[in-house]
Amino acid sequence: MIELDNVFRLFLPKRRAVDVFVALEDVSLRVAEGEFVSLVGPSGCGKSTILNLIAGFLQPTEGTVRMRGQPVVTLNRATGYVTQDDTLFPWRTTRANVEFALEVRGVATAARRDVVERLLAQVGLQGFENHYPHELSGGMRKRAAIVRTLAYEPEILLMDEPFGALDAQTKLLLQDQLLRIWEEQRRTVLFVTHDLVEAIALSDRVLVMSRAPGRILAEIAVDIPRPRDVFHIHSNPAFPGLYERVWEHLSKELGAARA
Amino acid sequence: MSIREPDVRNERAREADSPPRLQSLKAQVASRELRRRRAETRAIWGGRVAIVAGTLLLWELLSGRVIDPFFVSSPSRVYAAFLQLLFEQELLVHAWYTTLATLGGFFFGSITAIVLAFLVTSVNRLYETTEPLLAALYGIPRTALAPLFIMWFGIGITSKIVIAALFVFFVVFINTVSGIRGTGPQLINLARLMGARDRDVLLKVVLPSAMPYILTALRIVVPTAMIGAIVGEFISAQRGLGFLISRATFEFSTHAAFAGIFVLMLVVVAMNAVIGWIERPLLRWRPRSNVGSSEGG
Repeated sequence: MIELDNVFRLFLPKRRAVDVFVALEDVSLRVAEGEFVSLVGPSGCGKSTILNLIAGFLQPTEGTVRMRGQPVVTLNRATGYVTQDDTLFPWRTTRANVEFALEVRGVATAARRDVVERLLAQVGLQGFENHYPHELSGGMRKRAAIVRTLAYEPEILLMDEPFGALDAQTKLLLQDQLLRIWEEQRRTVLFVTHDLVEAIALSDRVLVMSRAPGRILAEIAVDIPRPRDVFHIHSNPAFPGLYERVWEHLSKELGAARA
Repeated sequence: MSIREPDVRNERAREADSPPRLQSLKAQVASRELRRRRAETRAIWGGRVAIVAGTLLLWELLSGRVIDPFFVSSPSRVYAAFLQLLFEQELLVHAWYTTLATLGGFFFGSITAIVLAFLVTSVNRLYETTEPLLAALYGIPRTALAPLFIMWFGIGITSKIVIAALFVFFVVFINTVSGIRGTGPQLINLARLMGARDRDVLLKVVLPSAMPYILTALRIVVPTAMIGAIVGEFISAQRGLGFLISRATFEFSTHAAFAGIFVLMLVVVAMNAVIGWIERPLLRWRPRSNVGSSEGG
């Protein structure tokens, strides 16, 4: 469903100095319909760039990005994006944030309300409909951001370290909620994270990237059956072996960065 | 949780099974806090009243004893002049004239500024191109332009409105532009991804994001608009508080001048109160300072 073929992406990071930064070098990847794929790799290795290419925020310098065979040349409205930072609209209440996509798509108020009620109930945000983002906890804001993206039912969910800034317990709870929603809907997900346990617990496949310039180093299929239990993923017999394999690839990159 | 008047009905159900010792402690802490807050409010207002009363008293006492009342007048004389102006010289008509010029300039200037700010930032590179030119125009002391405007628009209220608008324009324009340009690009990108068209992005993302800047500017320029109106009236007018004050000083009638200045102050205070009242619901989404949000789900 998503195909990147020999994608290169170069940046000019500073406005004056012309030193070209290579974010992605010859990246090819495929994500199948309904698959949950994680990208792990050192900081600045181009993970977010891949998401931005698929969303159509960026165009590849060379190579092609396709979705269902069609090249992505403008904003890809079939995607939903959940960022690491808080990107709820601070001037909108929880309800109005979740409604946003439906509102600009001209969905009638009553129909909007129904969808929003259901989504907020799904992530336990009932009673917080009329709160503004600054009145919510970090975990609640994240949940609101996720259901805001789910509200317009995008075919692909792009998630850029969505749980990166949360404390460990909240993170586990949200991973569990995300998994349950995913298992129900089986939307295609491309998930960027630094957390290897998270990557293994959630995904069908984990892609390990090199440090910049970003390349795909390895692909590890996670053969833990679903439905999964994120709280006890460590005690799954397949877990240690998978973790070792991912870490083996990643540690080389981190070591190289340190040297 | 903020401490308010304890809501007895809601609390009772929960408190029924909490031990009585804890209940009485809660009540104690809450009532102590309430008392502290009331005392604080009382102290602040008491202080304000004391400062004003003290100043007036000192002024009254010094005037005639230490300083020549010809130059500084005194509260009792100002009050008498105020009453005289009010009943004999149509003070309210003058005050209304200046208020109208101020409000006219305020609205005309700030609406033009806001609309232009959106236009200039919506066309690629237009702001970058025009910025130094605007800065140069902003550098001209506006008081120097005022006589020209009187020449162009006559000595009636139109020239006062235009001058007040000129005083207001740049502050609102510059603030609105920085508000618009400060809108997070990520918010705009995400809004577009969620299906927002240009109009939605403008009205539902950029405008609310720039709103705090715009409102701050509007608050700042209320007295500025009045300065513009008064400058216009000083130069040439037949009505208005500026005209009244300038005539009074010309006649060496310090008390009448002070009375006019006092009324000016009242008008600005009233306008600020109105702005504050409009502003509050528009900025309800912003966190109050010092109130951090707690982490955790």
